[in-house]
Amino acid sequence: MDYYRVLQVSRDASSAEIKAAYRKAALTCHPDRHASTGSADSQASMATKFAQITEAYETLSDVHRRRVYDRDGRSAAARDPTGASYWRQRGAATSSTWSEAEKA
Amino acid sequence: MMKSRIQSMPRARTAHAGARFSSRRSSVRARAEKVVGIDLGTTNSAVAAMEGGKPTIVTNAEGQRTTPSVVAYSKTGDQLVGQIAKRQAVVNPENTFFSVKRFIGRRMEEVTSECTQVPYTVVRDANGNVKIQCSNIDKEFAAEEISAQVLRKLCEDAGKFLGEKVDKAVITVPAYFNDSQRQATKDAGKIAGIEVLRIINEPTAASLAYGFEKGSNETILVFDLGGGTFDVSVLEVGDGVFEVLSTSGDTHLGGDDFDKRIVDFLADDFKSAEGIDLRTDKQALQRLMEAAEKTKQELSSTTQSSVSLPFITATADGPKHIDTTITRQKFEELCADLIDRCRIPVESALSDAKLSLNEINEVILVGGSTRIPAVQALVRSLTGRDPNVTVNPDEVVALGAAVQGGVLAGEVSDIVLLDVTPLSLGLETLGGVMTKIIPRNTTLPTSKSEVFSTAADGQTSVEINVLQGEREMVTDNKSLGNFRLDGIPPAPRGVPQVEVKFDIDANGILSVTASDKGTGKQTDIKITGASTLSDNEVESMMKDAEANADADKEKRDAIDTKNSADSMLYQTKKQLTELGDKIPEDVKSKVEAKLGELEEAINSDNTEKMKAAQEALQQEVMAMGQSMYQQPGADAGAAGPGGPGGPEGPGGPGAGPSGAADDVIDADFSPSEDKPKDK
Repeated sequence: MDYYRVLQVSRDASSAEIKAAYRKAALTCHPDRHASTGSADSQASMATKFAQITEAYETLSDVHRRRVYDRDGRSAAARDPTGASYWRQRGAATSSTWSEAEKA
Repeated sequence: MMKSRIQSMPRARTAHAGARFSSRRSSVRARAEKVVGIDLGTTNSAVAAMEGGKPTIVTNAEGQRTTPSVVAYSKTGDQLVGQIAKRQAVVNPENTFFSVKRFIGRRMEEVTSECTQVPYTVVRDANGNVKIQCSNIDKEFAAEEISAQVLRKLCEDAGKFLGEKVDKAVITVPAYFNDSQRQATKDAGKIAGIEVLRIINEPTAASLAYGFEKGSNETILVFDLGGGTFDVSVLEVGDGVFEVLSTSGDTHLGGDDFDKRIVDFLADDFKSAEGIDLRTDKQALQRLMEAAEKTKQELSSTTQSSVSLPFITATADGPKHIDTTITRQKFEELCADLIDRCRIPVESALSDAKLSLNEINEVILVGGSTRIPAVQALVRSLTGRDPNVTVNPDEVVALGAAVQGGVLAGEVSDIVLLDVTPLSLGLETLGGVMTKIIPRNTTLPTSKSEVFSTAADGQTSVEINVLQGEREMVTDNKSLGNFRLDGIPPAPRGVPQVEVKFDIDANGILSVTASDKGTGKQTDIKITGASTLSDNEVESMMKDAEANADADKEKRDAIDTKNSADSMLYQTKKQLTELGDKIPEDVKSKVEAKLGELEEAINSDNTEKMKAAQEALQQEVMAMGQSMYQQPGADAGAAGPGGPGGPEGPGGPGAGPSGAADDVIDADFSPSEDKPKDK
């Protein structure tokens, strides 16, 4: 997914242009705009589309994340990148299990 | 009977409101289904609807623009809602339920301080959730059920005002409400038989009402201090897009707390003088609370207010009274820390929005408590500007909810609201810490997923504890519920891959799914548990409420019938006396026979018989009227039966059937005074 294409702006768009493009896109594809008319299917596809434009806007409207995105792509620019975390086993949550896993 | 009352309502009000409503009448109603906006407040509620393209407040059956969010049960088990319930609180403190919004969607341990502030009894149910005890009908209510009663009245009244059935609504909640509180509010709507199209945030709703038709590009801060909660939202408005940048708040701070300070001050004072703690006497407490609220309100416009509570209690020496004066300065001193607490959410909302104060174009005050001068002064000092006072703080939220209702119904086409989740969502991971999946202030609707693994070798199941809050440790956050994913193939720790997906819909309500990437096994979990009702509970409460509503209607019908029968009996007798021997004897005896039947029906208190007897009498009275006209020199007879609501109502000169019937009901109170008011 190319964020610039999602928002239909050029790669050197100013932040004002990006904001205007986001607003325009939100007005057309926010699920609320189709609540009274669309079928369940079209609403779901609008929801997906809206999620995409939001993701694009969240990245491109942040100067730092936009730079990371331009350089390293989408996954690098994801907000709050967290690594895999661990669960304790149900009922077997002794402190030793935790510390072992933590060491690992 | 009910129907005619419905029709006559808006007519009476239009006359009252004058020019304001002139557009109402001329507008063409395009849609059959009305979506109303409801501000379900802690102390008061309001309803609005789109009328002629504009959001308009809908008045209730009592003609008021707001309705107290109070439900009471009388000694005889009658249910009272709104002003009528509030008015009898002093004599019935244990069965008068107000401020239940403070309990909705909460677990008992979250509301320990709230419990002590109300005169009714709040108990813990088997699941640790809050239940409200009603001794008069010997029942325990969920807060959802009490709110549902308020919602039901609001919608019924709105239906009468708008002249069409209202069963679709947008309901507002404080922006800082968590998932359980939102779900519980939605459930309350369901119990009331309302389809809740959307739950929206109060400050956001206020911004919609403010920015609707304005069309300018602005950054605004909404400061919403209501009866029980405090919210701050920062929004950017432009090109029809209302984008919430950040939200913050305090769900334990509101006008009730200010009242409480006055109550404590008065009670402490009294205790040191008389040695009696009035707070242990429920009736005295209720009187103190009402006096405190009144004093607080007065101190917004005057610098001192007198508190006079005669006979507040009695000792061996005789009756005791409270008669004192509270100055505005004293009030501000009592509430200094509460007012100061408003500071924090404003600062965090601004910092989350990455804005400085000079980037805010407008500050909007919402909620009755923003009338307190000290609160306004704080806003002024925090923001360095005079707040906007063009909106009515009691009505703006309902108006905004109506605008959103218009958007969802397709009536309003050039606006979209982009709201955010107020609190971070995540789950418990190893070591009792919360791992966030959706950070706070993320635009809704949204969905995020993350992959997790097992912590031990051969672990075949994972327990997923869904959390909401900003703190690091699990125990400091709100647990929304637990679920378990079983059947993970045994493998060394860290190998299995479990994808957890969080979806937040436009209502701000979360659903979670977890799937094992190895087996494809999926658990689909609707977050239930914690402090919300199960689907079954909601279902049974809904049936319960419907049955009660039917019973109420029946009761109402019985009262209405008896009133109209009484009135008809009286009018007819009066007429017989007035007309005297002008009536042919045979006609007169027929009328008298039917009169006897009606009187008998009234005495036996049989609604069906009364209805039948009224109809029969009506026939005879018409025949009587006819016989009068057939006589020579009948003008005396024609002038006689003039009283509207009299038995010849439908034929009465000038009065339509609806007007006449309406008067019959009103005549219950005081016919001679009521008539001119209605005409």
